Amino acid sequence: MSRFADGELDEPEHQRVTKHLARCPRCRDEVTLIRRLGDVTRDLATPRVSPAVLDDALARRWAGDRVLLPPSDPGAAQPSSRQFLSPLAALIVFLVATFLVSVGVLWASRPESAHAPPDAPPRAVEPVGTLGSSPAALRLAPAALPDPDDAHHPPPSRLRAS
Amino acid sequence: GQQLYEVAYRITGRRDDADDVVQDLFMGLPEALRSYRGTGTLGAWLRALARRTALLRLRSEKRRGHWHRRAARDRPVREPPPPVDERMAIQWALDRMPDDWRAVFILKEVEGHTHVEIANALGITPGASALRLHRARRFLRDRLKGKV
Repeated sequence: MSRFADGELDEPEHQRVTKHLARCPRCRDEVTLIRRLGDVTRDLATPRVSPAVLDDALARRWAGDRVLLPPSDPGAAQPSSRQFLSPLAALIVFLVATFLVSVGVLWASRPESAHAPPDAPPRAVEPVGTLGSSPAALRLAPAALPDPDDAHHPPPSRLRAS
Repeated sequence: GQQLYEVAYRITGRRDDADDVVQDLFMGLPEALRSYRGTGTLGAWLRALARRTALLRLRSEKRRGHWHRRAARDRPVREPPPPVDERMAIQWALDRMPDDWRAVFILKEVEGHTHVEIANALGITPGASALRLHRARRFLRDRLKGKV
């Protein structure tokens, strides 16, 4: 009945409901009530806006207050759906970034090849910034760990200490 | 100003909320006008802006946990009977209706929007909009028995 009262039924449905209303007083009363509620609501008087509202607005604006209004274009913002999508999108970005950083760390931490120069210090990768950093933000730093291939040649500092 | 106030008052249901909405509108209007592209009349554009501002206020109150208004309306207390006058009775019932239902009811019945447009404005589905409208009408019908 609600959709019939609002004129939202397609033609076959509209005709079917019209035939039903011809023999159902209860549904007829329902449709009449729905339409009456809308008619009266549209005619309801509203309070007058107080002149002080505009005066206060002008005074606040003169004092430097600013208000950012929502865009009035219906296609510009879908608040709730965007509120739902923004955290989801942020979560997806976070997971992808974490995955990329992890891959980058694992790739850079792989064992050195046999052809690496003997004097070249082992490299460790030290991520910088937050986990949201791009791989480009990774930088190389002198290793703090001994070379696992160099078990018979301890670091010079240990030889000196002994 | 009065037309914008009417939009704000009908959607929020409260004078103080409507006052705040109109005040925000006047304060933010100089910057907001930059986004007016000239499609449609300026009056319609301003009404749409007032509508969105009022709806955002309703949502922000909900997020801040201002449930006392809805709780007061849903409390099964012995409230005074509706006024005898039809218009006053409908206003009386609208004042007691949950904000979510009233917003859809006003946007549909007074502002003349479709459920798709209401859904976009409120961030709900068209089906949810239709359901809220149905509940709003049932709310009014149940409270205005014999008055309308």
